[in-house]
Amino acid sequence: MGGYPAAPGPAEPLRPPPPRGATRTPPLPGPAPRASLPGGAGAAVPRPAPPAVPAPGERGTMTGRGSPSRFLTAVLHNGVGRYVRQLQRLQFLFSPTAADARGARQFVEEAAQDFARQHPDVVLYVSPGSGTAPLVRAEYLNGTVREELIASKTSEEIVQLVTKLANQSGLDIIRIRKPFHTDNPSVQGQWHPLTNKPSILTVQGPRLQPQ
Amino acid sequence: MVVLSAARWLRSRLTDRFWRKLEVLKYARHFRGRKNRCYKLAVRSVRRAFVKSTKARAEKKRVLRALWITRIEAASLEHGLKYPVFISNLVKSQVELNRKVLADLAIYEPKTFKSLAALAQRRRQEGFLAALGDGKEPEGIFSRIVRHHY
Repeated sequence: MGGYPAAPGPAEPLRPPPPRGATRTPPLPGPAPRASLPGGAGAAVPRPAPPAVPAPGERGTMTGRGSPSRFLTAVLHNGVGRYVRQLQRLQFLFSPTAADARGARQFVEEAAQDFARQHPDVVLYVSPGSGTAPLVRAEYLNGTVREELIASKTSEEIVQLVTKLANQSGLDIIRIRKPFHTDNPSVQGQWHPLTNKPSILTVQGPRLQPQ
Repeated sequence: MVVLSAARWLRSRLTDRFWRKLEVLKYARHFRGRKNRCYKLAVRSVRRAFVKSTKARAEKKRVLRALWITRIEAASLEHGLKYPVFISNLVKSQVELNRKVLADLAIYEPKTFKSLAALAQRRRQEGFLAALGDGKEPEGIFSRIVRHHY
């Protein structure tokens, strides 16, 4: 039926969609967008941003090979000898005037110093002036960067969240195949087909007399 | 001027279609054939995969228990005992190890498993003596029941 905007036509090259979270780049220099398109949906407008990344407690499905999984490990056997906190730095990005950043501002004014004293190995960076939603960015020693939104959260909730981030290692939060792991599963020697056989079968060499 | 109805020349376009399809296709990427690429085929396959994954959780428990029993049976036969004899005599000796642990012991701690098999064998002999004997011998050591008061 009528009413749909005209198709772009061969002059408009097909572009692959931008990756999720990519910032909007200006349209490539090419044929100017036609003014006759109704509705304001120009052919040069890039695909709008995808829906926000859902919280870690989302309804993610746990199929065996459909979703990633890993074994239980500690980063470089952390804790066997000394314990090194895996959280390297925390960046607080919030706006000084936005309403949903009130909890963030209260946290920075009241509780951030106590948190910093209790966790001396974590570096806190506070950057007021961000125009986007307030968020806290956690960087870990293995390079993982984790961003959490703190919009409309109270100061206590932010303290809990930040403590949780400080106690995590930077390993991926995906399905852990087994809740246990050991490097030395066998003390007496793992079973092999000759374990419970008489030792005459394993002796080799010229000293073995034919029966 | 108050506008009471939305301007009727505005139309809303669905802009999220790509991401909605990608959410389904990402669970189908390891499938075989066109159902790992084509959304209409992938929707059906992904739904069936999820249903099977849900039902398999109850089945996994059964499968693993059967696997443990097979392994314990093989290990106890190496020591000359059949599986029902081994398990029943362990239970009578108040050794409350479950099949998962027994299977792991059979693989990783073979000497411990051998001693458990010997224990079950001895308890079996004591049971025979108690049933067939005259009652003049004292009762067996491993036949004693220890009552724990928790």
